[in-house]
Amino acid sequence: MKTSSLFFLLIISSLCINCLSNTIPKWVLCVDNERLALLQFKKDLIDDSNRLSSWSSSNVDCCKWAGIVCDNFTGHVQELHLQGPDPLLEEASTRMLARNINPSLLSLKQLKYLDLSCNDFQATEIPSFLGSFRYLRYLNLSMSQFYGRVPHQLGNLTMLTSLDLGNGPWLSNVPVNSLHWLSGLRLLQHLDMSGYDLNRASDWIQVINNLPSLVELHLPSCNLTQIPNHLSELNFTSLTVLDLSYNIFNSLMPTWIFRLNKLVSLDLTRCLFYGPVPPNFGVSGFHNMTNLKILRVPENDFMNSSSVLNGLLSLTNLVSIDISTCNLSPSILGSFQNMSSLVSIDLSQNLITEVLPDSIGNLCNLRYVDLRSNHIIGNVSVLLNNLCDCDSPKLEYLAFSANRLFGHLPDQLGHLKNLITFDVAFNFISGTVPDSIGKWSSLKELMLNVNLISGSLPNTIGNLTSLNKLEISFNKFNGSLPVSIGKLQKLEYLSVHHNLLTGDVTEDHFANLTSLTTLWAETNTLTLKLSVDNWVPPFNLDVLRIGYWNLGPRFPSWLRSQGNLTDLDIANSGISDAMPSWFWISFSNIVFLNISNNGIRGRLVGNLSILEPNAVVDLSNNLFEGPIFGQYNEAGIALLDLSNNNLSGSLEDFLCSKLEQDTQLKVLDLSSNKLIGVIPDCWMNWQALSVVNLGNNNLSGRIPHSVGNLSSLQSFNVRSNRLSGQLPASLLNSKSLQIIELSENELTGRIPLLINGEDTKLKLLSLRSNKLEGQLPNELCRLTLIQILDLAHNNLSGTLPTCFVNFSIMSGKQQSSVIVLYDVPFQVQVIGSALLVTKGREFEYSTILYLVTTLDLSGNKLTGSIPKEVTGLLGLRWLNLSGNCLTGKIPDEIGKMTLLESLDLSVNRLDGKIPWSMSRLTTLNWLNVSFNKFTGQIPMSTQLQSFNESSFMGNELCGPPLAKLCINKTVSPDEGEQNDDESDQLKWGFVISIVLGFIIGFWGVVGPLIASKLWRSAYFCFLYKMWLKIRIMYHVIT
Amino acid sequence: MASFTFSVFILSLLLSLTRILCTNSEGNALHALRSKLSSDPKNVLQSWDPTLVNPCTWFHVTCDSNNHVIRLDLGNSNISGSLGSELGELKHLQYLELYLNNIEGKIPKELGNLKNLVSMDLYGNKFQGEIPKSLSKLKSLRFLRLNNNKLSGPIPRELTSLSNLKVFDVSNNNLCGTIPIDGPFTNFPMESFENNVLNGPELQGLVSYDFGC
Repeated sequence: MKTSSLFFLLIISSLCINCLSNTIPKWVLCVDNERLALLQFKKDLIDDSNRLSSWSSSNVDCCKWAGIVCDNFTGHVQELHLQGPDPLLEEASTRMLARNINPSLLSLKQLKYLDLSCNDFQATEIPSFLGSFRYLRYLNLSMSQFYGRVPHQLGNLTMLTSLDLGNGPWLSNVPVNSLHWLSGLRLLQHLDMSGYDLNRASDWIQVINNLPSLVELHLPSCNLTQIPNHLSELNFTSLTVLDLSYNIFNSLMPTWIFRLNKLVSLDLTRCLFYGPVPPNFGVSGFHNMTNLKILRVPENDFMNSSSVLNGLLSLTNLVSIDISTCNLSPSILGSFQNMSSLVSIDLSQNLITEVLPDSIGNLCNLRYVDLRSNHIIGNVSVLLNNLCDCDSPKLEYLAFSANRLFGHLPDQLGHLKNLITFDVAFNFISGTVPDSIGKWSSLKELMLNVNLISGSLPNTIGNLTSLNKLEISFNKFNGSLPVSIGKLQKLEYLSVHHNLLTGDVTEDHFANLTSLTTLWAETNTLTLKLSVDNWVPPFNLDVLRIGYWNLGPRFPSWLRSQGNLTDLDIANSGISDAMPSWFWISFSNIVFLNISNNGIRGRLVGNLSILEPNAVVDLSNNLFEGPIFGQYNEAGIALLDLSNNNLSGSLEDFLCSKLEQDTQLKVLDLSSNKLIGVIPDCWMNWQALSVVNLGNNNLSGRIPHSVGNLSSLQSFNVRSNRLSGQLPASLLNSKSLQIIELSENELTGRIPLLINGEDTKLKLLSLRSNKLEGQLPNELCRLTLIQILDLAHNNLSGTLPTCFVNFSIMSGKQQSSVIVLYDVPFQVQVIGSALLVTKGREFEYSTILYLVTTLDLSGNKLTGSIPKEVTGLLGLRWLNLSGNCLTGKIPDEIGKMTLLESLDLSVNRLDGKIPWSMSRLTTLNWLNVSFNKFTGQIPMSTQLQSFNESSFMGNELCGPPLAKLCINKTVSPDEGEQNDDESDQLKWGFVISIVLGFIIGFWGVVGPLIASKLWRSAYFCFLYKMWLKIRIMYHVIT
Repeated sequence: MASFTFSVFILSLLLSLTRILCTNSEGNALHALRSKLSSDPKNVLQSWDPTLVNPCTWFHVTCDSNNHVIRLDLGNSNISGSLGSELGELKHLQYLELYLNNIEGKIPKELGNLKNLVSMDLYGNKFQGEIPKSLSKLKSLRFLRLNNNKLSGPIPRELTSLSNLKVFDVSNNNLCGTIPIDGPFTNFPMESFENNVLNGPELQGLVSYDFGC
């Protein structure tokens, strides 16, 4: 009664105002003070796009202003619709209302509906006076860039049914401490607080649970971490929409969610809920949620359960389901075959291993199917055919990539004419691409890369007028590149690399490719045939990778027009020409430059302004000459490969000049040039270096000590130079080096002791063919990870260490893995490599270097016996101890070394029998025990008898493969062991007499030598080697 | 995400490795062999990287100075699978050592193309079918050990023309017919033929050599 009389008074008074003011026409509804308030409100807003142009004092009827709805009778403003543009749209910000909300708005006392969403209130707080609109039923401030606290006064809006404060995916910086203020909003049906930090609002679920009218709840990205697993009393059972996405709970899946059986949409994206989901009255999971149409639960492990997935069978109304990245392994694909209303399925990034059911192809309403990155097996042909058989296929997005699918693409594939994305990359699909794909006029992305597809790319590809991305690399496409590709005006990304394409590519192939930015077509046998010399391409590329094309012999001049290039690969392209001078000034953003393996001539230039920092530069295998300029160290290059050119001069300028700060260089390969001079000691500013290869030059002088202090250095190679002096201890003590290759130099002195060898990562140490002397230090055994130890052809003396058991890889206790020294995906990978000698030959090893295990101490002056510890190297493949002065027997345990492929013990003074255990070496494919003092029968085995006589000559051996027959009958392995002693006894007297005679005869010469052990062994070694040389000469001649 | 990184890894690996695809026919033959050897529990074929220019650096493969494969040593390696005709491409092969494995299927008749073969050791496998007559073309052959397999059919008479043959063993198979007595076969002991269904030495002119097959 009271309110109605008030109402009456109001009407009267407004009528009076109308009567009194003659300036306002009678039909005007707008209440004057509200009009003024609105103008005041406008005054505080920035409105660049004039959205509120109708809000002016000249237009007196504010009820007719944009965005305003008045009560038809009283003329009071009841609704304010001022939502801005979608913030994701281009230039949306120019059409937003900005600044702040003037309190004059409070004059709109009858306001029921206020929508200020998608505007820009410039990080001001939500004004607390909004809590004074007592009739307000709808309040939407979402995406309006309010910042700070939520005023509790909003809790006074008791009529409110919809409250939307959503901030989008980003978190508000000021945390909300409590949601208690919401408790009064008993009529609230729709609540959206997305993006508010509710982490401290521990009462959130209690408050929500007491909002009995709630129908929609949106709390995504609210930094919630606490959620009860059980709710004894569930009050908001009317809920139809629940969105808790992007709150990382990382807890058990709350069971009460499954009791919300009116839910139509459930979004738990990245909640990290895990299982198990306990059975509830015999059913668990989704069985009762039959109204569900939209289910989004990516990144929740609780889904990885057969019983939970079984529950999905009840959801016959499902329209959209997203279970990606849930570690799913149970079978699931069959569950969908009867869900005919399904429009969208996303099961990507799981561990699904089952066979792809053809029945999915019968779901004719499907628009979106994403099964990427699983282990799904099966033939795609029938499924795709089924999809094509739909009356009017709606499919827009199909992604099956990175599975184990095979089969071929059916001829009628073009029937899926609404396709926008077709992605079957990383599978085993074979056959050809059907002509019918030319009907995909909406297609934007076609991804067939890494399959087994052959045949030629159909000419109809030119009809895909919307095509933006064409990726068919790593297949077996043959034939020529269709000319029609030149019609694809919207094509930006063209990738056909690593196929078997042949034939000519002409200007026509690129005729209308005005949008093209990436042309990645390397490793095909294509020839670029241009009809004009001064071709100007229609495109302006970022990425041009056409290595292995035939582009030569002239340097392609059209490159000059591609000033935006970041990646340029024209390696192996038959160019045999001088480097044009324009090349070094035509670009400015190059990060990947590979012009290797051509015949490009010229001197390097000093100006490298074409490069971006961290560039990869490969000019190897060309005919570049002249010095390497100092400026190269300023360009911030990450990888510089100038190997196999004719570069000359010293390293001084490049390594030492004008270095004020650390360089970024990680890989430096200057091998196989004509560099001279010393290796300068300027490594202080090269701390990023990981790989240094200066091999095969004419460098002389010492190896600077500072090289060993480069803390990132993994591989140091200076093989085949004229370096002299001592080997710096810092190299062997490096904690980062994996490869040290110093062979074929003139290094002298001893092998330095290792001080902190325990921390070593060294896998390869080659000091082959130097002039090192002294004993093998026992500390060598601290190189526990060593797998290639080559000290051959030096003057090393002393006995073999007995601590080889410390070599964990050589002794088979540990496996090695590929030695990746530098890796930029899709650009370059530097793998540890080395020239190794085995079986009398030298080979380059790289991809399989990590599998090699070798111990080569040949060509030294080592004395003593072969310690039986050597036979503990069960992981050793190659063993070469030849050309030393070793004495004694081959240890019987040698038969345990079952990985041994190459064994060379030739030219020593070893004696006794060849152990029968050697017949167990079934992988032995190279053996040389010639020129020792072995006696007795050669053991019998398929391998040992397969070697030539030369492997055994120069001994007292008998039996096959030697022609000399053994006097004894063929002995079995067991008998052979016993016979060793007998025959030893027989010869004992003979040996004694020889030794005695020798000692007496040479006493005068030998006497002084007894004083020094080193002299002694060296002297005998020399004599013995001379003797052997004469014998070998004799054998060669005869 | 893990799968994606893995895909990227594989792609970059492919990218870096396929730069130099094996163009060597002997390498291709060995690669074909690898693909037919379905199981390799001891990883003896791990080093067989098809992207390498020649297979001479692969383990268990030995080349001569002209980079021709002369030895293939895969005895006692626990490998299984079968052999294909491609092996006949290894024209310079002297030693084919595949003994004591689980290889099944037929002995490819193309092995008769290995003109330089000195030793063929296929013993201790699961080879089936007949001994190919084409092996009689291997004029340098000195060792032919096919014992302990499941070979059937007769011993081809054509093998009597292998004048260099020193060791011949077909014991423990299912061979039938008679034992040749010509050429090198005069010297082979009876143990080389035992545990078959052979009908004793050949009686030339009286019974055909495949008598009883």
